[in-house]
Amino acid sequence: MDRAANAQLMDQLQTGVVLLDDRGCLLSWNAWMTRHSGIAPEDVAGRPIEDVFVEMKHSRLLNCIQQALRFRLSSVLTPGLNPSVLPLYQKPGDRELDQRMQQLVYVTPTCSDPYACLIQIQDMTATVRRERRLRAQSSQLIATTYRDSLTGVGNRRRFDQDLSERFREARSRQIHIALLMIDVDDFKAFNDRFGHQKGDEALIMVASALQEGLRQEGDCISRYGGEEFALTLLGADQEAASTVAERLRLRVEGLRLLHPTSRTARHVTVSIGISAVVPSMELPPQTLVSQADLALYSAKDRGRNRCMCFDHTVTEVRACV
Amino acid sequence: MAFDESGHDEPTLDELQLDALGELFNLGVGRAANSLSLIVKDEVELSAPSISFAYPSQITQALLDSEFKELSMVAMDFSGPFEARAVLLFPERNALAILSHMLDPNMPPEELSEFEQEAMCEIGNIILNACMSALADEFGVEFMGSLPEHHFSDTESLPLFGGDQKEVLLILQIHLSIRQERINGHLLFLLSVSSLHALLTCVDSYLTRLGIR
Amino acid sequence: MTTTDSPLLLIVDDSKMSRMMISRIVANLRPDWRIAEAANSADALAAIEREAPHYVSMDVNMPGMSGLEAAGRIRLHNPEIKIALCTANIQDAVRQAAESAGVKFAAKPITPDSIARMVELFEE
Repeated sequence: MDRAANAQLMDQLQTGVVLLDDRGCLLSWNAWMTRHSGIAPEDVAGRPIEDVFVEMKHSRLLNCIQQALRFRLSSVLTPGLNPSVLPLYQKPGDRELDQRMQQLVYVTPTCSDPYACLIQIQDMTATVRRERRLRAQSSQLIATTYRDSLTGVGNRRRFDQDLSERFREARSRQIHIALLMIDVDDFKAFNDRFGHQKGDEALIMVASALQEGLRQEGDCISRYGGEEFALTLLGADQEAASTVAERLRLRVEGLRLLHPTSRTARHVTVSIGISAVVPSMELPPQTLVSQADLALYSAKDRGRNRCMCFDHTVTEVRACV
Repeated sequence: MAFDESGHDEPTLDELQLDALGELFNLGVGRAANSLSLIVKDEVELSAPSISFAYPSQITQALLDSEFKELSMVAMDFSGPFEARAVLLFPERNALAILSHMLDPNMPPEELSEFEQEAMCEIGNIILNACMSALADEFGVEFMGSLPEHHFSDTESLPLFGGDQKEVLLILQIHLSIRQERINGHLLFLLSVSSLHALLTCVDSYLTRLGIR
Repeated sequence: MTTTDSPLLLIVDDSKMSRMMISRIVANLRPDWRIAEAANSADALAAIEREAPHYVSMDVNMPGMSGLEAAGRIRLHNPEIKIALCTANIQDAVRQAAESAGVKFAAKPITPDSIARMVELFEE
């Protein structure tokens, strides 16, 4: 095929094609490039590519061209990491708005003299837009699927996932995992006295006090059900978990939410059951839940507004701290 | 090169050869860190603390045994004084953590979309090209490098490692941290025995040129 | 001829090849300097306890304590020692961090030119 035929074929491509010589000077580009850059190749041929697109100086693209020319290495520049490398526009009107085309760029060495480097550019604008939309939708979806609609903390699904992920991690790294089951004391009596609306408000306040009482990023209070909340702590042994539990208990007490019908105090309080283990291969995550539950019941038995731990050495419950 | 009892030709390099390769790759990852830091506009820590050798079958087995389904790999082919298939291998979860940080910090890392696969390709591309250009510079040779491809560690990508007993893997441990996210991965160079010899010839003449050998 | 009054350079690098290269180039440039070597940060700190060098050429990526941390410790106890980080890590952020900590910066690869620049930095 002769050169003219080649050029004609290149002009039909729906992809940008740029050819450079061994000094990085522009030899030619195809009609796609002319269309989207607004520059005719004959106006700039023979000039170093970074003079044609001034902003290319010190850019990764220029670096890649040099790698192709000097080392004969190929490179890819993706829209995610290099937004809009070249001043290319889908429509002439986009130029005034400075809305550049999103580009996927391939830089490869070639050995057909005088061509030393081939740059191919694909228009990714539609793909990137679709990706962004999908991402936005999916993060919204993820957020709502895992959030308790009343209190704004995690829901039961969040808790189940947290527990199974963290339990697996604790098992593989052979570190502690602790589970706190937190229950609002005499909540039924609160609802009976003040009505469900006030009850909901109290739950919201307790939930945010618990969530704000956590220091470590990534730790998440979840509403386990009704007036019960749960929390997993990765890397926390019984002592560390008890410290957190006691801090949370005091925070709720500190809210000073009046609760005249409570058998425990004049304010809303919580009881907390704790279990901490380094999971063995055989231990199922559900065991941790039963143990923390058991500890929670015994905290209730002993008068509420307190933290109790499940003691693994004697498989029974004892007071914390 | 020496032989071990199992009949494999266990590649053994002397201390100076290993040392030189280690330094050359550190030069490469130093350059790669610089390129990556320009992209993320933040400091990037990248180091290659150790070099070792293994057989493709050992790696395939190790992959089958371990977190087999959760690896992200970028492969490129290089040819020159020696031919190598270079594979950058990261645990997928860690790769995701870094990528989502670079691409969209508000997006929880759930799965590797096409977008992220492309970006992973580019990161592998940067690291591998930087290593090869460092070797090319210091050895005074030239390589031809292909475009990168992204693979997941499923059964289809196992042939990446050949399985040919006559091939050897040079394994570099890679530590990469960007904005508090840290990932440990491996950079594998799959070399035929003759390519390994050619690589060692390059190393030896490099050492001779420096007057060290 | 080197005597105990001659400037002492301590080369810290886990690569024997690198130590050999630096040592050889420096010996050419400054035949009167004495040269000591250490393969890691801990050995380097111990060597400095025994005899404080005038200059230290410090690799950054080493097993154990990093060169950056070692340089920081040396600056704390022996502020008079001039230190150059000799590293392939050429990021501006690293360079700036080094310079703001009063440490010089020499980019790898080790070549006669890069080492000559390091010697100049020491003698500034």
